[in-house]
Amino acid sequence: MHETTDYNSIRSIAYFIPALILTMAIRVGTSAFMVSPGKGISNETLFRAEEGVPLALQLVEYILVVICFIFLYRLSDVHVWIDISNTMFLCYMLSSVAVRVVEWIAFKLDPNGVAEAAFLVAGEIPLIFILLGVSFFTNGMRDVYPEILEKSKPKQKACVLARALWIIGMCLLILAELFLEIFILHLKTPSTMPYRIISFVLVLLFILSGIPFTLRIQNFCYSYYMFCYNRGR
Amino acid sequence: MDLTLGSSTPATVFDIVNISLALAGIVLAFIILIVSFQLHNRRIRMGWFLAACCITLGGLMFQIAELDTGPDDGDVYTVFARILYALSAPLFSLYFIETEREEGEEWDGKFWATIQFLMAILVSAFAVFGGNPYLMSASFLSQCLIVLIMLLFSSKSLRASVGFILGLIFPITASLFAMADSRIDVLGFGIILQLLVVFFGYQLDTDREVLQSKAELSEKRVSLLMEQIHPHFIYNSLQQITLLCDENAEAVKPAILNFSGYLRKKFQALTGESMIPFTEEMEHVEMYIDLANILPSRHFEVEKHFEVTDFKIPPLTLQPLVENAIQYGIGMSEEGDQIRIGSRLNRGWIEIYVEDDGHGKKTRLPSQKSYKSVGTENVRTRLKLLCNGELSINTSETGTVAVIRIPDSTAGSGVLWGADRK
Repeated sequence: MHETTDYNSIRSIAYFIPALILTMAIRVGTSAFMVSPGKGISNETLFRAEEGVPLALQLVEYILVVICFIFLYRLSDVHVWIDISNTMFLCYMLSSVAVRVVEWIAFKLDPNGVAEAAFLVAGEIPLIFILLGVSFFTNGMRDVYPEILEKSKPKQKACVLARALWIIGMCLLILAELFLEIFILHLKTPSTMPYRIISFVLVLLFILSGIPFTLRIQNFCYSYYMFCYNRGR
Repeated sequence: MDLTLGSSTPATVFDIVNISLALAGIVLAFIILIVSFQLHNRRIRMGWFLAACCITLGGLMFQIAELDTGPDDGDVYTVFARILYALSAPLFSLYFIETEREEGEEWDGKFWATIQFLMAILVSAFAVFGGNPYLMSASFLSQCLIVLIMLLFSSKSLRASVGFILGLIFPITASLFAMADSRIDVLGFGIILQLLVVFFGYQLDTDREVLQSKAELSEKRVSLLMEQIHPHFIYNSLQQITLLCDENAEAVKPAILNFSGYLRKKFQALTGESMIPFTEEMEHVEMYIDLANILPSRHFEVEKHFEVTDFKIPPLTLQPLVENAIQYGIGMSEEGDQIRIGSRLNRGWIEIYVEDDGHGKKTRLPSQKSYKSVGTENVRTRLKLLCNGELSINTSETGTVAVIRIPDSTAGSGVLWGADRK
């Protein structure tokens, strides 16, 4: 472990990563709520589902990603997985901008939206980077302090495992949503609108169910900090 | 190509300029981010710099997003872009504070950082609740002016402050343009140009530090040289050569040649960085032995037994061990007069040993503490760094044995271990 590890960053990032995941959850949840069946589905509704509150949350999410990125940059010498996680956060920012630019250019060239399906794929890539980044970070933390795991109770070990499964599952679910959107929604747009709603709701439920595990991550990181503090480092 | 922007607004010259510069800003930000992220030396200030880049990139992203939406939504994106641009100023201030802060110095930039963050919050609130483009640009200009005041008051070096001020010209100009005509929106591009100038400044700083550390390294090498060439040994040698002039004039010339050869080898070894052939190191050892023989110390004999000589060794690794054996092994004892130097192959390792039958542990006083010799530690470190080798020293009552072990693969002997063991 690096000698000049910034323990304040470890302690701070334990709050910012759950905040980031929570923001993402609320954003996706709000979008799903806006396209719920009771409100009447139309292209206008779907378009609006990505504006308003979700848009504001996108700004908050971006700022939180930058904050996490700074902390991870400070911690990147600690473990190779944390370094990779840092790169994932950078990839999120670069891919977000790239998606926006490509989307804008394509709309200029193709106003009828034939290439829209491609953007549905591209639009999910930044989200996947974030999930991978969080997963790699917690994985790195677990490797850096194996003594914590050795001394922890079996229940806590189960939580760590559940956290890993949760993040992998979330990635798989997003991929599933992509397939639904590309192969079903865009082939039979009017009749298969519920698939999109179902996938949104599933993502929402999955993220909500993950909140307790997210809080566990926070406790886990704080335990690291206290452990190191007590050892006088 | 149809340059229709938004829903139905026809593109103007301003729109084309805004789009072009926003896209150019994104490309520049990508390049700066990727290049600066690759730097190995991850300092705190580089973290702030990257954060400023990322935040500005986010602003440019929202600026681009504004272009493919209707006029109502476009305002929201503009507000978001302005919030992010406002946040870039405090991050830049933090970068500046870290640059100016001396190593180990207490953090003294709290005042400026607090002012900048308060201003950013104020400007963001203004963007959200006010929405007037002129006032938004004016408030950003005030942020830039605060940065300028900070640079003028807090900068310790004129060169650095000129660089920072040069960079600051771009966002100031961009906000002045926006104040002159609200249709011009090139703030993001201006900030990116500022960061580009700052990044060049950082690179120049780093180059200067590298040159400085090289100079320090050279100084350390000279001090090592002075440490290795013991002044008393040089003094004794010269005095003895002077005495030889009266006693045995014929022996003077070889003695002087030995002495100059010894010094030359010493200098070569200390200034060179790569491995040298073992035979070359042995030449150095022999020069030292010849020189030591003319000194009024005890008589000693050197026995050599080499199984392998065709390999490489870090310079000045064997000679200090022989020097130790002569000076401290048999030089400090009434007993013993034999020094054995040899080399052998041992299961993938080349071993070079120096044995003496001197005082060993016998003459060590109970109060005498064992300590690590600087010269021996130096040999050990260079062996490890240059060829992943090892040094072990065993002192017993019958004498001292020092063994250098070098992996055959790194010594490049070309002899397969065990091939001659049959």
